[in-house]
Parts: sequence; C-alpha cells; structure tokens
Amino acid sequence: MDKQKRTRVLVIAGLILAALLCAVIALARGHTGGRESIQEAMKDAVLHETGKVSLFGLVEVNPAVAAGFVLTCILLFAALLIRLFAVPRFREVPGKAQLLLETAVGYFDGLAKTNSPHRHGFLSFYLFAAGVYIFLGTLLELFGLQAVSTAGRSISLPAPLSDINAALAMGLLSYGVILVGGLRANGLRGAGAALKDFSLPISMSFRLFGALLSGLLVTELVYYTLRLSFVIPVFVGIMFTLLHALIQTYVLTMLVSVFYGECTEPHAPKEKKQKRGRAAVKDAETAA
Amino acid sequence: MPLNIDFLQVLLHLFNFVILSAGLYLLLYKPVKGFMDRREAAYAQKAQEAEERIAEAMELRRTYEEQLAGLEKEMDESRRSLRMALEAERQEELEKAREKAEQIVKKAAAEARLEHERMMIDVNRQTGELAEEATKRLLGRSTSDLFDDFLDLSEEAIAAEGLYDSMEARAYE
Repeated sequence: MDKQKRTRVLVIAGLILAALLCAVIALARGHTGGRESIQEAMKDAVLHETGKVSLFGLVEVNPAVAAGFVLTCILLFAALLIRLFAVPRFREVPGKAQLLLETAVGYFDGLAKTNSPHRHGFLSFYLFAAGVYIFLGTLLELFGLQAVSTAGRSISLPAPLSDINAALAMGLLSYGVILVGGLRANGLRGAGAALKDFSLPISMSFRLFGALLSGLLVTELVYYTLRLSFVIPVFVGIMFTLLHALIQTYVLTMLVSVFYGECTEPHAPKEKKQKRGRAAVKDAETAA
Repeated sequence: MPLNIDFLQVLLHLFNFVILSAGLYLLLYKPVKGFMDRREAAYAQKAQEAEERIAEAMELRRTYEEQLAGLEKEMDESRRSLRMALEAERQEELEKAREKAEQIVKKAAAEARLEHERMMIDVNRQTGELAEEATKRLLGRSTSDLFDDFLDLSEEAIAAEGLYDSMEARAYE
C-alpha cells in the first residue's frame, strides 16, 4: 500500500470514529433537540410566524424575503464581475466558464424556441431569470447564511421560494407574463386563452411552494433529531436540495413556456361564410 | 391571511425578482446572448459563403465540362475531316499512279509495236537482200543449187542475226 493510499484510509477511519464518538455522546446525554417541539419547528418552517427579520429596519418580514434580497445582491454582484472580467474574454471556442454560461442561456433560449416558436424573445429571457432565481435560490439554503431575527435569535436563511409569498409572487408573475404575451400576440383571443386557465397561477405557486417546502420539512425533521444529525444530513440535505432545485426549475420554466406557446400561437383567420339568397344571386349576376 | 400570506411580502418578492431580472438581463443575458448570436451569424455567414463557393465551383465545373465536351466534338469533327481529306488525297494519288501505269503500259506497247515494225522492216530488207543475192547466184547456177544455196544462206543469216528466236518469241507472245 503506498503512502498516499494509507493516508487516505487513515483519514476516513478517523472521521468515522469521530462521528461514532459524537453519536455515542449524544445518545448518552439523551438530547432530543432544541427548545421548541417538532410541531412548533414544522409550523414555523411553513408559516414563518415567529422567526421574522427586519428588512432595512423598515418592516418585519419572513426570512425568505431577506434571503431573496441577499440572493439578488449576490447574483448581481457575480453578474457584474462576469460582465466586467469574463464576457470581454469570450472566445469563439469556449472555455469551461464560458461554456457553462452559454449552456444556461442556450438551454432556456432553446426551451422558449421549442415551446413557443412564434414568439419567444421575451420568454427566453424570462425563463432564464426565473430559472436562475429558482435554482440558485434553492441552493442558497445549503450555504446556511445566518441572519438575526427580530427576537434576537440567529436563524439560517431559507430558500426564498420556501415561503408561500415568494411562490405566489413567482406564480402570479409567470401568469402575468403568459397573459400579456397572449394579449400582445393574439389580442383578446390570446388573453382569453390565458384566462381560460385561471387556476394556473395557483397551481404553479403551490406546486413550487409545496415541492420546496417538502424538502425543507424533511431536512428540518432530520436535523431536529440529534441522533440523525450525523452523516445523514449530508446526503439528505444536499440530495433533496439539489433535486428540488433542478426539478422545480425545469417544471416551472417548462410550464411557463408551454402555456406561453399555447397563448401566443397564431390562429388562422376564419373563412368568410358563403353568401346566401338574394345577395349571392346578385353577386353571381354581377360577376357574369 | 391563511398560510401567513402577506401581500406586502408578495410585492416585495416581485420587486426583488424584477430587480434581479433587470440586472441579469443587462449584465449577463444580453451580452452572452449577443455573443452567441454574433457567433451564430458568423458561422451562418461562413456556411453561406462556403455554399456560394461550392455553387461557383460547380458552375465552373459544369462550364469546363461543357467546354470539354465541345472540344471533344470539335476534335472528332476535325479528325473526321482530316480522315476524309487523307482519303481523297490517297484516291487522287492512286488515280495518278493508275494513270501513270497505264501510260507506261501504253508507251511500252507502242515501243514494242515500233520495234516489231522495225524488225519486220529489217527482215523484209534482209529478205530482199537475200532475194537479190539469190537472184544473182541463180543467174550463174542451176535452179536446185540456187534454191539450196538460198535456203542455206537464209538460215545462216537468220541464225547469225538471232531473228529466228525473236520471231519465235513474238509468235509465242
């Protein structure tokens, strides 16, 4: 066995021993979690009634709002850096970073073109923005950014879309985009097609909220019990978060593009009805 | 509100997302999409140029093939005309040769006829001389002797001149 391999085995064995030791200590103390009961923790994860944060000292909001603004700041700063330092160095044969950006932009552009071939300019951009927001917003909870609640407690910033208000905002905005797209493409007929699916904003919102919340609750449940807090959350938390991020990004962007394509699809003008009676006879005589 | 729905927070989320969208559009989406579109347009232009070049090459090839076909046709035509000219020349030469041969044959025949006549004249002349000699001798000897002498002299003369052979040859001819 060479030296490098032996070191690796020793490190892994040490980590396993440390985890087992922590588990034994926790079991010996009989600790059952935090101060609040599991019902309270779950209720707070869903409703955010207690752990409010102050937004710029103006208003008390759910932590998801603060998480949304933090995410916006981080993303805009990253976008600015990319715009200043990466985009001018773009080459015809892309490197890894350029390929990643082009793949993201190209994917949403392709999705828009595929599902709404007649009108996809704004849709492509909207899908990109929504996709980035949902995907990276969901991944934000993995970093465990900390904030101080109005009660003075330290709380971890959740995914913005795990708040029903954020999911509602996203669902309503997506519906608005579909409605306006249909109106601009087909006039009242397009708007009617969008309004026909009046349950769409609710279904989109609650699907988003439910999916993200379920991941959050499972993770919360796992974390709540100290006995399950070793090793398992690494897999449960990361896998749930990554899967939800990918799936929800795909689902929402796909739904929006499909409904947008349906509402903006151009309709062939109806053929004029054949004239009957005296008018038809008169026309025939005139033609003759 | 049920589920702790707060419209102020909904609006805050909307506001946040609109800011994020605008920023992402200006800083990320537009430049990257613009770069991709420019590159795609450049590739499309290159593809179009390549297609145009291929079309030009095909047109050029078609022209050359047409020219080649014309040249082959022209070569066939000239080869045929050359062959015809050669044939005519050969016929003419053959005709000339035939005429020349006929002339030679005619000339030879005329010469032979002249020679024959000349020989006949010589024979006549010698016959006359022999007759004259014989007459002279006849006047001095008997008829039979004279006749024998005449025949002997004639044979001798013919043998000496080789006229007998030539006459036989003529007779055979």
